[in-house]
Amino acid sequence: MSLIDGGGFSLPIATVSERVDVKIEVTDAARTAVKSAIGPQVDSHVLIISAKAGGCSGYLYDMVIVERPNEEGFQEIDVDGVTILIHDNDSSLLNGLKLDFKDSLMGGGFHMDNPNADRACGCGQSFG
Amino acid sequence: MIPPLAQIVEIPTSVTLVSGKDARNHLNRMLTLDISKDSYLTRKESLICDLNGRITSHQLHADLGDQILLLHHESISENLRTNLTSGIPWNEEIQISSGDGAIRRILIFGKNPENLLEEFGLSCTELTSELWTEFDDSMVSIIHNGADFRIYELLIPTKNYGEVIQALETIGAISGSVDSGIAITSMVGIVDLAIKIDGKIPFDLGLESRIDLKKGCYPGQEIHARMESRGAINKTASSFSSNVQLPLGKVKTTENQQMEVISSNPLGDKWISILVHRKEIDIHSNIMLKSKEDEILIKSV
Repeated sequence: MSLIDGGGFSLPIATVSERVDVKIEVTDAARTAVKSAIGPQVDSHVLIISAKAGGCSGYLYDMVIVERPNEEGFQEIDVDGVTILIHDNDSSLLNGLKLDFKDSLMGGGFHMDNPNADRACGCGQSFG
Repeated sequence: MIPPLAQIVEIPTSVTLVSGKDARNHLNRMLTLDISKDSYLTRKESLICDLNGRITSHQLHADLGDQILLLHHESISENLRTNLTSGIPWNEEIQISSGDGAIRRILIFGKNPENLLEEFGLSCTELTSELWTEFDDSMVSIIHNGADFRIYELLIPTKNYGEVIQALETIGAISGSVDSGIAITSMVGIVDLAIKIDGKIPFDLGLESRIDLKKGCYPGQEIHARMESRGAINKTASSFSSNVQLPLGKVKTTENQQMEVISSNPLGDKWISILVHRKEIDIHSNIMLKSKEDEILIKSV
């Protein structure tokens, strides 16, 4: 037995996220950069863009290239043969997102312009 | 004012359990402190702030490894749980559960509380404020270790609460009021979870130790970093005693300096209050506060 084994805890609190049909814009530079990052695995791998709690402004962007996940709940966006997935739970936060890529030594890489963000932090990785 | 042996006080506290293999990472992204390297039984107080750097929740951690118990004021439960359940990434495993009523938090304070705790087989000299120590199904920590008196904090499962309290009373502890528990912690400069501090800037409450500007981004970090780098931390909080209760909220001294009372609780025939004030105020001189009826003398404790 321990402090928390004596009962009295609720079942995990469930959350209900608003689901919207996601539309995103990907610039030519971002499209080229994503295709280059995925490389020859373009048929099996996808880019997942998500938002997670944290960062200076409340939410952090996350981008990962992974083998197509088995989980349900993703919306699929095809960009010139590259598949981008956005989870339904993130759909209201990321709908309307514009994904860009800047090729520069300082501050280079992917950049997000998110119409849902009231503010973003200086580094551009966080929004709220 | 300080009991010769020990007084026990239950401070009503809400409980939230964060569990799952990614619980620590998820929580760490939101907190003002770094908990990524915390280990089993770490005791720590942390804050979650909004984008403007103002406190939205103040919680006490009891680290149970893959589960982290958060104890907090009941009034911020909904806000805290909403914060914790939002922004859970698709590939992370995190569960948030309410444990309100499952665990009771008590303070034991006095000139010789060790005489009682050692009856439970505890070696009080080994207790620290950074770690919980398990005994039976409960946990204990020392939160003030003064020459005159000590304050211990216990977390007890509700099913054992009656039995533990009865055992403590049988060996000489006396039960006290919530007010006296908050007053005694205020007296030693501890802002207890029972004191509402949401909406405040942590620096204004002297809570610099709950802010880690080197941990990386967290909500409100830009504001805190800017305040720190520009030398804009010009307030703090201190404890004062008075003969009467101070009204919560903004007050002015007779010299027209503004202060803010965030708590005022009776201890014996005095009232112990925590006031936010500008750092340049000389708190060791007698300070007179303006009030509707009369002036109130407050003294630093």
